[in-house]
Amino acid sequence: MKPIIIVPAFNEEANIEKVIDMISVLNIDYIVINDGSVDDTEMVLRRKNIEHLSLSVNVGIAAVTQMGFRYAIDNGYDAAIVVDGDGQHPAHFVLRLLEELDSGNDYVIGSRFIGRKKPWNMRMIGSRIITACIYLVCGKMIYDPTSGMRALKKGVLLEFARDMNYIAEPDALAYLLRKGYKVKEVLINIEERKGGVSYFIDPIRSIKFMISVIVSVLLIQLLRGRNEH
Amino acid sequence: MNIKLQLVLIVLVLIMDYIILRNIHKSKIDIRYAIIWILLSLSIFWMIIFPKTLDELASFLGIATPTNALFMISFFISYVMIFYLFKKISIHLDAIKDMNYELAKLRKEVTELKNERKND
Repeated sequence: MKPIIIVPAFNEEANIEKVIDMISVLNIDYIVINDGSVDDTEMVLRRKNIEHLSLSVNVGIAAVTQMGFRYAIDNGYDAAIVVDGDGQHPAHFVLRLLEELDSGNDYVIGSRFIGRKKPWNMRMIGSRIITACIYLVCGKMIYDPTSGMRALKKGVLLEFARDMNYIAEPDALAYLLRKGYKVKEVLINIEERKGGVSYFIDPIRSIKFMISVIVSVLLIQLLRGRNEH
Repeated sequence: MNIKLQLVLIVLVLIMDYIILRNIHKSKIDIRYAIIWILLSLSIFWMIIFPKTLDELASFLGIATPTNALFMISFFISYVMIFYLFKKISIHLDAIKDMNYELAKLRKEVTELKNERKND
């Protein structure tokens, strides 16, 4: 198996270098995708000679990861792991995720909560609602459906590289489960953010996200057929 | 439909036609889309000049007044057109994404080639 680590980065001048340092230790190829950052992310990437693609226009996290998957396919990789550019995903868990791909899973989620207590704050209530929706349509409990750290095997990789009509991780997950792919969760520990701001700090954005994801999981992903290419 | 309403509508349609034609003239709107708008304004014009068509249509659909029939039809047409726009936007978003990716890939290749040259 030839894996590549995909690192989406949007305004991560403060974190990206540390993330890459952690990844380099693993001796696995990686690609940073700079999603039209408006800070000095590009400068840092160039100065440190970090393998990267830089996008002209900001496209958002879902589209960026898709480009990563496409890049992986274009360059002959047959597995990909997404590790956020903000340093929240400790890179050494990449090996754990890859192990699980090796033992026959198609999609491995770096889960913050499997076999562990989820806190009861607003965000985690949202997470529980999504878990319930996925269980409803797919019959499988996914304890951390919004985790950004994931490993994908060739089949899933191809599918997402070609046609990825989803808004975030949960509905992608629902789609894969319904297609019969083998999905597994693996416990990871998350670091606190060292810099930058989280996307979900804005309550209106969070509500919009929740509604979109619920509609997508419950309705749209059920209707999606296979796109012929 | 009373004459006052007819006159107001005719003026509105004429303004709309003027805007459409001016935009065609300045090449600001794609002919394919301009055609849709011209057909639309022609049919509205027809309805105003021959309100009988609308009367018949209204009684056929069981709508009390022709004006309401006109509203319903316009609403439906707007609905279809907006959906069409959403679809176009989705297609364009996909195209932008593809081009964005291709451009990023080229940029990377160019930088690599430049570096190779420097090292030679």
